[in-house]
Amino acid sequence: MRKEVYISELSRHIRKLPAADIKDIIADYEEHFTNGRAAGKTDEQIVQSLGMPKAVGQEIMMNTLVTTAETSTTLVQRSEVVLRMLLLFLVLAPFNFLMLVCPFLVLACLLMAGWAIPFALVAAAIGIVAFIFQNFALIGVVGILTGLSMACMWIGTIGIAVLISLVMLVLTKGLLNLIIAYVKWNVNFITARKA
Amino acid sequence: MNSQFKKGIIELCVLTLVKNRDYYGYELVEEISKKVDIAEGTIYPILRRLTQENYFETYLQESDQGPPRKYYRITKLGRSTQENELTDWKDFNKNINALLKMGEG
Repeated sequence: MRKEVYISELSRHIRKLPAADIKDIIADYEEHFTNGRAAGKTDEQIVQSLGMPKAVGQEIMMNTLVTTAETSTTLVQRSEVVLRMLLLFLVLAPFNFLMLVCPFLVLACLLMAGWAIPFALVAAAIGIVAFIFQNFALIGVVGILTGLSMACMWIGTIGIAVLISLVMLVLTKGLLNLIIAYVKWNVNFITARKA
Repeated sequence: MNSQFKKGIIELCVLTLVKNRDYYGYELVEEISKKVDIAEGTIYPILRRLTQENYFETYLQESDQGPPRKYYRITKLGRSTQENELTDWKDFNKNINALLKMGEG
């Protein structure tokens, strides 16, 4: 494989990184080829000791994703990075991924079910308000006390929804951190081999 | 030997070499792959991360053969990290060796 092919393959595998990072990374490998050629090596020899561009590119992507996952602040951002990390992990270490996939799916389902509760409660609260507005005239009939109890129910429902949301937030963060830690521990090994 | 090396060990090797003198990427990579059977392409990401974590500074220097080279210089933080990691590694080795000696009886 010639230098130009190697560089373009490597660029393709890291194309999702920020442009500035790609430029930096590619510069390192170009410099490596320049120095290797100056030392009298052929491109073939240089590529052989570098390792295939695909393996090297995946290694770079995984390192970057783990760092991004650890530093991303918002939950949405972090979930997105963790999903991308899992996809790459599936390619890099299919067997370790399979070990992860069952408990992950179970936990993910539980989490989704948990998140459904506050949404259902909020929907119920909206229903109550709608009911009150629709039957505004009724309050005059059923009396101010029933009206008040309905308002209390409404506030209570919202309160419980907020509470459960907070618990779910903590649980979701915990699961994401667990996945990050597991993947990080696994990629602590260099898997790319010489060509 | 198994080609799955713990990155931490390669990291310690890189830190130790650069602690002694400034290196440019190619010679550092060659130095390590002379002793350890590792895909050279995976050392650059390590160099990059150590630089991002402020263990290294980089600077460009002209060379007589072609374009300028990127050199790595260790920082104070890098120096103290190297010392800590070296102590950890030596302790680990000592304990493992003691354990293996027990096996020899």
